[in-house]
Amino acid sequence: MKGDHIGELEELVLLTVGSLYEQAYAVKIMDEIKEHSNRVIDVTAIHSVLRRLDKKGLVSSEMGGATADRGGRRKRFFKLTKAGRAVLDDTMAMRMNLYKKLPKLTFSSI
Amino acid sequence: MHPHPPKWPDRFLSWYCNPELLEDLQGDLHELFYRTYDAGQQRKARWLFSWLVLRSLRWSVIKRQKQHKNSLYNMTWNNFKIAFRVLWRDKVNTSLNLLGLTIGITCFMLLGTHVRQELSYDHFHSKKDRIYRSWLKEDYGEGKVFFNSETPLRFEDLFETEFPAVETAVQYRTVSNLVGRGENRVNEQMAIISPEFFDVFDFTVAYGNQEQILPDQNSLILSERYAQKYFGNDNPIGRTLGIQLGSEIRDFTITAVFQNMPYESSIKFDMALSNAINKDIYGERTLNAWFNIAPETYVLLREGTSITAVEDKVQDVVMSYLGEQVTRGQYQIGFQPLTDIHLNPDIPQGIAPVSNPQYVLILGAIGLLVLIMACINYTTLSAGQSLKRTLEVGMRKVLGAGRGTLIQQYLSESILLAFAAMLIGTAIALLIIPTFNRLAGTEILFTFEWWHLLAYAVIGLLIGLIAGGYPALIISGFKIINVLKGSGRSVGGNSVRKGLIVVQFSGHRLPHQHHAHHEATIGLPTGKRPGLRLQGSTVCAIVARS
Repeated sequence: MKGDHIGELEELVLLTVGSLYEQAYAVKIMDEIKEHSNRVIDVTAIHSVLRRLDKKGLVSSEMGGATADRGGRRKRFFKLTKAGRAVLDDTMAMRMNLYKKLPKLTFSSI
Repeated sequence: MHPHPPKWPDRFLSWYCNPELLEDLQGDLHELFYRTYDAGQQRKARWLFSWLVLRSLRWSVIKRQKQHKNSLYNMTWNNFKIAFRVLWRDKVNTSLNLLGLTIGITCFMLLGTHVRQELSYDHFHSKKDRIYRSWLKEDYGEGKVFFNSETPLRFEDLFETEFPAVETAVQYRTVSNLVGRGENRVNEQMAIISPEFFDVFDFTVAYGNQEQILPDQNSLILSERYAQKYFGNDNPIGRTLGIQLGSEIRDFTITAVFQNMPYESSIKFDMALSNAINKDIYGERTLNAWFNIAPETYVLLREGTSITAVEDKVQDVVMSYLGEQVTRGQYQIGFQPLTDIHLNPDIPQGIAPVSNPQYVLILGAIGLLVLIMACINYTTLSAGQSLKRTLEVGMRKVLGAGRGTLIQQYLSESILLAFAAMLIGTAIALLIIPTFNRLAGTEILFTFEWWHLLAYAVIGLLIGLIAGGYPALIISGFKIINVLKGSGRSVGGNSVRKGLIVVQFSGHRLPHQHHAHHEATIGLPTGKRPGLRLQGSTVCAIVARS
């Protein structure tokens, strides 16, 4: 079903939206991702992912107040929805479960 | 000065972007622009901005035209949906109609492909407008006329030396000889051609000696088909094949392999020798003879010259050579365009096969008639069935449907049916082409090209409109008052339907007419003396004329 599964980039953006809490708009998300994972992602790609997440109901958005810079254009701020939060929780839990299953022994050999 | 992002990309963005998404997207791009700009990278900022505008151009961002979608698109879609349901409900009638249309389309496709093929003969040569085949007509009066498109051996040299407008002249002749050594010898048809042959015609050397395909009189070239036949997957270049010439078997070295010649070519061969070999076969007298004919001679004119320049000079040249033997006008040399050869029965057949243009015309007409008859068939059947639709039409009219809307809806039905029939008919045509070729002795080859899709769409639409036009008119013409009173007489004029049926039956007679026509000509012009081509294991096949 739509929304059940999200891609790697979608997950990254979703996490960043959550972590930026009320400050998440595309440029900021881009900067944040660059800072944390050193990945340079095109702002248009971020927009595209955000639209997809919005369509899947994982984030919601509203326009902020008018700004003086950027030609007076407003920013669109994104927030995690409940469903988005649930998807993140599920993904993290799934990863942890799998991670815990890594045999301890192999650490010595790796 | 206050910096500003590049104007045109900015406008472009505002133009294509969905207004709901525009503000923040544009804002973000502007923010990035200023950030880069303030960091001192003015050029990069502009460049980046334009690039990002382009990158933003995605399906999910593009402005949708909602207005458009609501009316026309929905109505059409709705019409087709209803048409499909109606057709599905009355399966017997639908399959009858579909069958009729399918048969019509299948015939049309087969005959159409055949006709197209006949008409496109030799049209693939890029120099086709400059290539002519020469003919020779000796007219000594009192019915003593010798008219041939095979010409004396010396014509090639004659054309090249005496006529400046001629760029190249080439010979083409076919002979049969035994190929191979030892027990397994096969009689093969082979061509004897001038070495410049491939420069004049658009046949392609697949591999081997590209510059000079036939360097000397011991060279032999093969088609890919024959290379496969004689050498399998080995490389045949440099290998030899024995060919019986007269009493000796001579070894020929394969110098090149050419791509198989297309079906729509008057000139077709699978192996060819150089005409340098003529020296070894013929004596001096034959080589220089004016009254012995053997090869077809093709000329390639120089660019910008016309054939009349050659034709005007012919008699002067002939008289300078033959002034003592013939009088002016007795020995005529003429030229025929390459693309004219296949469908011109007025010039005698040489080596290249000639079709009767009348048959092509008749076959085309039959194809078209069968298609029209299929349309008429649909028209009469649906007009007859229109009574069933009375209530439906009455109901729609009561609910406010206009006549135009109703016509649109019934046309959707016939167009839908026509497209279905097109699909099935094409599939059937493709399937039965091999059988058809065997029965009719044709060699139809269907090759797909992209413009066919457009042609299909147009033909499908036309069939739908022609076949469904009349029923749509009469069905939509029902009067509400009659429908509600229950006196549902079919409205359409009976005379129209009767007329259509008459046309259909007279159409059925046509194939018989064509058959009778076919029987009448036996393929040889009667009352003329035939020339005999003596062929066998000797190369010296000269057309004998008693």
